[in-house]
Amino acid sequence: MIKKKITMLGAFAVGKTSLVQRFVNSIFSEKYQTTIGVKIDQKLVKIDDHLVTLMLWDLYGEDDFLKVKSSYLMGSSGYLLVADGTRAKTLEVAISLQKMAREVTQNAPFIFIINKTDLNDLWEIDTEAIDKLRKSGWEVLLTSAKENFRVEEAFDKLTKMMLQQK
Amino acid sequence: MTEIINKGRINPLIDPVIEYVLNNIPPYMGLFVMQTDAEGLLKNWFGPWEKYFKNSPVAGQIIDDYAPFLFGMVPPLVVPMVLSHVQINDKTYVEIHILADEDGSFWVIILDQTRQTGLMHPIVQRFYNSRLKGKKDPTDSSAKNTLAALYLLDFMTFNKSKNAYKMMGNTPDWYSDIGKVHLRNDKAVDLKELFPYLEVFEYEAEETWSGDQDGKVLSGIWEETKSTGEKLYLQAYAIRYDRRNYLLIKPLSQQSALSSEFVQKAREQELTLDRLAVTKKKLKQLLDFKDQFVSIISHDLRSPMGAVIGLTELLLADNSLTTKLDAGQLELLGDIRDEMYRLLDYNDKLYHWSNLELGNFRIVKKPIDASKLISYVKKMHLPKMNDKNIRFETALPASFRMQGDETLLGQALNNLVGNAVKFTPEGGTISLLFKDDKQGKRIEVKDTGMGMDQESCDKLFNGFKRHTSMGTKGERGTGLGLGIVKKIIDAHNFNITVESQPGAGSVFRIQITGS
Repeated sequence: MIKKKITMLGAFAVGKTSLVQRFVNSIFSEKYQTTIGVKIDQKLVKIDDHLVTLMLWDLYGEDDFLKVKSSYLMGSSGYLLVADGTRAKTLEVAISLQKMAREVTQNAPFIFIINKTDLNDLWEIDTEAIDKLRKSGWEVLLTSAKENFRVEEAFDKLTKMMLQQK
Repeated sequence: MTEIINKGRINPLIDPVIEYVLNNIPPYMGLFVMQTDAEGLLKNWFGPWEKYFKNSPVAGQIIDDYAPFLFGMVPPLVVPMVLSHVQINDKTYVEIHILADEDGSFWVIILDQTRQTGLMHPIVQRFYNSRLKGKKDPTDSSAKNTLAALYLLDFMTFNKSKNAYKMMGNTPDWYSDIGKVHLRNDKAVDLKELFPYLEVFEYEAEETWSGDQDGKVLSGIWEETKSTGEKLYLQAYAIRYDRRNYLLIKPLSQQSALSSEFVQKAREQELTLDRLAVTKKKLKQLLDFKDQFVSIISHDLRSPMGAVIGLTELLLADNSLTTKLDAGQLELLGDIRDEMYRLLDYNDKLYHWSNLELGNFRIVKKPIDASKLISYVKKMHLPKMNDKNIRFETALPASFRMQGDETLLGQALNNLVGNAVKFTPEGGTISLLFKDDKQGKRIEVKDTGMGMDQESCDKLFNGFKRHTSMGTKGERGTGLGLGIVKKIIDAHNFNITVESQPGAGSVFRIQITGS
């Protein structure tokens, strides 16, 4: 069986844990519970007749005091870079984390997720910024872990990208 | 037995020890005896050391440097201290006896129990499996060696050789809480399968494990979930000790739980601040919208108000009409005109206020002719001052020079003097004084009016006031006048203060800077 490691990267409180929990356990919690260290979950998925075990490394969110260690990315076949659409500064964090991840994973595939589409009224990341990233070659998906909007699609898409990469 | 020992290096062997050996030590093969001083330094030894150790003992060596499994056991807690079935390496089980003699020496007696343990193992294993439903391996009893006993302190301990991990001792209680597979000591564990986090940590640990010296390295934190749903944070230590490699896993202490709580709170606070900033931005947008709305409406209302005033003035000036009206009707017409003037004044102030709030003005600082300002203000208020028989005093030193926006400053002084007129009783005095002395350049508006208490002074410039005080002749205010004054003075980077006491009048002082 194929086994692939996916690392979740992003600023704190962007919804990394919520996305994993939605994908793995089909649950969502309104309460923000910060991730300390790393939480590893796994899920078996079937992509184009391939059974793939995804090892999901849900890392603590980065902030001014806690920087993500690059060693956590070792062995990752791909990563999900997550930002919170209602907090524009989480986009900057994602961009800087991607630089680090690109080096450590040697250009492993990734998808940039802008989460929390359910909070449309508070949205801060504008369309131009998203278009700019898409033009630079980033695969961008707008999701909502709360409303289960495009969450599975994000993981499936990344898994396909990782399988094509081998 | 005495004879055998006397042929070895232990000499003299004192009687109580000989007696102990004779009475308590069964005649197993492989008897090995070590004697230490009170500090635990090796003095003498006897027996086949090569059965248990790679090297020969050295006199003066610390006993647990030579035999790490004795760490913390010399001096013993009780005498004699007896530990059975202690696995000291991959294949050998021993029984250990530790004694103390009257001279302060310690005696460590080691017996080979490998065969006995081998026989006992399957029997005991079956016995415990049936009792504990296979949760624990009972042969891993309490004292395999110091590291193996660490499960009592909540550690999981693994011996690492090449790429294989073998568990030492028992599993601590927390391990069964997280519902992982049952582990046995005699089988290699796929540790990365068990705790995938260790795959990454192994890279860091390898540096310590492959080193020439003893050392340890601490991993980051990872999270496991108990069957109750509760979170459990774990951390690993990679240890190299005496050319052997170990991996220890321990749940984080309460202190760490506290620090994670701290991180949680700090992040929650930052999220709240982010949300507040968004709310503030929205609020500012709403306030700007309100000010724009007020500005447009008050501007558009000026024309119809002016028209009504003009028409009323025409009616009052028309003799053919006024001669036909009685005194009461004429007074009513006069009241309409006066109220319309008041309404127009209020509307003008609203217009100015909203524009000042929006920042829709630009200060044009030019040299000001202060005498013009005095004349303008006097002209505006003279009729009312005459009505109340108020004396108006002015002062302007010949050398007085200042820069500012003449129109806006005129409006500010107009509001201040208007305010003074309102609160000064008949026969009082109002002064508009331009000063330039040691205390700096300033303008003062002084009155002999009713004055205010400190609380009123403190709230005076805080924008719109819902409740305004009535003047001495029942004059009503808009509640905007002093707010407008403050905006204008601030825009000039001047400073305005007020001194007042109930019944003792007020002084408004504009301190002029940079002119």
